Amino acid sequence: MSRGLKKDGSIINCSWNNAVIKENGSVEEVISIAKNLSNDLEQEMEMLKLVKAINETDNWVVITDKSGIIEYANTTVEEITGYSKEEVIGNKPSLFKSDKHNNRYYKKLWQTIKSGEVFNDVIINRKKNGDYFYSEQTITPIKDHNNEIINYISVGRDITQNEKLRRKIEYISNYDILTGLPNRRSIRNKIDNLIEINSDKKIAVLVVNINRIKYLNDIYTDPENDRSLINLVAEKINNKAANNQSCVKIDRENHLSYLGGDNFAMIVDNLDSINQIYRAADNLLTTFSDTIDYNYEPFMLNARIGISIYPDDCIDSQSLLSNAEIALINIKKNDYAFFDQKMNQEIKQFTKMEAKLDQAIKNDEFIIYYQPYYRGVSKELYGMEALIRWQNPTKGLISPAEFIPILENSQLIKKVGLIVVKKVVKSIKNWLDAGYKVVPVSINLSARQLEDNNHLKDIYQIIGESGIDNSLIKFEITESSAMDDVNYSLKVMNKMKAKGFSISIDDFGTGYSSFSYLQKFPIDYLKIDISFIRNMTLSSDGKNIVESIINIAHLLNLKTIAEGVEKEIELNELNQLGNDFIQGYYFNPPMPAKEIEKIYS
Amino acid sequence: MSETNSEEFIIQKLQFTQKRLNLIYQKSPLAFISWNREGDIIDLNQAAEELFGWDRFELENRDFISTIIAEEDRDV
Repeated sequence: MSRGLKKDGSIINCSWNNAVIKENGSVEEVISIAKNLSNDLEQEMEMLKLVKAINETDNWVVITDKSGIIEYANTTVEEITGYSKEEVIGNKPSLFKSDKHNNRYYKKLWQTIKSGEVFNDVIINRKKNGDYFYSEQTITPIKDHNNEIINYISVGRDITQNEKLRRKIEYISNYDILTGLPNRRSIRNKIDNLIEINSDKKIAVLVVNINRIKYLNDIYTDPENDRSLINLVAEKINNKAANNQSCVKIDRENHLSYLGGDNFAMIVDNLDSINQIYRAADNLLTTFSDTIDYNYEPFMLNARIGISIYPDDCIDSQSLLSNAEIALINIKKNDYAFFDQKMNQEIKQFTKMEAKLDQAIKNDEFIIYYQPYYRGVSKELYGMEALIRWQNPTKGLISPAEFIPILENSQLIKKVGLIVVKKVVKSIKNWLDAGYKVVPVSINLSARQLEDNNHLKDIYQIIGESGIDNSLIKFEITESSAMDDVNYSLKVMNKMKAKGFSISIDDFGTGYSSFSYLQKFPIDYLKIDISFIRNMTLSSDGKNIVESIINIAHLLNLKTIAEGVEKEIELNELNQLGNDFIQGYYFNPPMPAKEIEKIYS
Repeated sequence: MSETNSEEFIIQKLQFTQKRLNLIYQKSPLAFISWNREGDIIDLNQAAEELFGWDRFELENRDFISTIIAEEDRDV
C-alpha cells in the first residue's frame, strides 16, 4: 500500500497493482493500477465509531436473530444485568424475564414485533442477582431487501431510578409525610375507585375525629420512638378495622387515612343494612374506652365519628368526606352521627330496640307459643308450630312483627334462635314425661340462621343432647330463603333429612320457586300462605290458585298445611280440594305451653 | 485477393482489440496510470483523473513517482 498524492496535495490511501509490459526483456511500460482504499477505511472508521457508541451508550442494546437468539449485546447489558456477554450471546432475551408480567404480555410483545411493528413499553426485567429493573424498551424488527425480518434490535434504558422517583412522588402525594398514613387524596382515590367499580353499591365514609390528637402528638411524640402517638392510635384503629370484613383497605396495610389535624377517615362497604355501619363505628369507638399508653404515659382520648353514605347523601368522594366532617358537628364525645338526619333517627330507634332485645335475652323474656295443626278431614291433632313471643315486663306481650325484623337484621337472631330450640325441646320433654302422645313441633329458621352452618350444628346438638327423637322436630324454612342459594339450601336440607327432621316450606306461593328445585329439595310439607286462604272464599280465581298449589304439592309428593284457617267454610273447601292439614284460629290460636297441655290431656 | 483480405481482416481485428482494451482501460473504476521506462506518465484513465484530481493533459510526461506517490512512500 502506497499512499497516493492528489493534485491538491492531499493524500489518498491506495493499494497498487503494477502491470509491467516488457518488450524483448526490457520494460516498455508500467500500468499502475490504484484502488482507492480511503472510502473503505472511512467506512470502517465510521463502523468503529458506531460500535464504540453503541458499546458506550447508557442504553442497553441487544440484537437477536429472527428466532430470538441473541447475536449481539453491548457492554451496558453487562453493566445493567450483571450477565457477561458470553452468557447473553446465544441465549434468549427471556434470560431477563421477570415474574412481573404475565404470559399474555410477552405474547403480545412477540406478536407486535413479528408483525413488523416496533414495540415500546416499560418492561420490568430481572438482573442476574435477581433484582428487578425497569427498562424503557424499544424493540425494532430489521427487515432485509425481501421485507423479511432478519433481526430484532432491542434498545432499553434502565429507568429504575426514574421509576423509584416516580413512586417516591406518588408516595409523597398519597401519604402523610409525618405519619406515613394514607392521606386525603389517597382515600378519595379509593372511594372514587369503589364507586367506579360498582356504582350501585352503597358505601359509608366515616370521618373519625380524635379530640386534640394532633396537639398531643406534637407535644408528646418522642423523637427517639419510631412511631408517633398518631401512629399508635392509627395502628389500634387499623387493628379493629382489620377484624371487620366491611372495612375497606386503602392500601396494603391501612384501613385508616389521615386527613390532617384531628381527623381520620375510613370506608365501610358491604352494607346490607345501616346497622353494619353503626356496628363498625361502635367497634372503632371501643378503641377509646380505655387509656392508651404511649411512652409509658397513659392517654385518655375520645373520638367522634361522622358518617356519610354513598349514594344517599352525595356521590363524589370530596362531598362524602366533607359531609362526614359536617356530621361531626354537634356529636358528643365517643358517639357517632350520620350526615342524614333521618338515618340518625332510624339508627337511634334501632339501637334502642336492639339494646332492649339484648336485655330481653338476658332477662329471659322470650316465651314460646304453640299453634297446633290438625288433619283436615279427621280433625285429629297432627303437629304444632312453635312461635316466639316477647313478654316485656312493662309493655306486656309484644307482637313478633315489631321485633322479628330487628332480630333478623342483627346477630341476635341466632341467640334467640337457640333459645327457641332449647325451650321447644324442654316443652316436648315435659310433655313426654307427662305421658302425652306428643306430636312433632315445627321450628322456624330464618335465612340468617340457615346460612350459618355452625349455628345449625348448635341447633342439632341441642336437640341431640335432649334425647328426644328427631322425628318430633320439623323445620320451617321460608320459600324465599330456600330459593336464595338453592345449591346451599339443598345441602342443608339433605343434612336435616339425614338426621330425621322433617322440612316444611313456609309462606309457599309468596316468593319465586323453581319447580325443578322443589322437586330436588327433600321437603315434606308446603305451607299455603294465609293470603291464599283469605282469597280462597272470595273468588273462584282464589279457589283455583289454592287448588293448583295443592295439586302441585301432591304431584311433588308433598303434604299441604293451610295456614290461617278461621272459618268452617274454609275448612270444608280445603277438604274438598284435597288439602291435608289445617292450622288456624278455627281450631286454636297460638297458645302457651300450659294451654297445650289441656289439648293433650 | 485472399491475402489482402486476410491482412485487412487481421488489421480490422487488431483495431477492434485495441478499441476494446482502450475502452476497458478508460472506463475501469480502478485508476490506471501508465508510465514508461523513464518514469514519465504516458497515459491515464478517467478513474485516475478523478482519484488524483488531475486532467490527463496535465499529467502527461510528468514523472510518475514524484507526481503521484506520496513523498514518504517513494523509495518503495
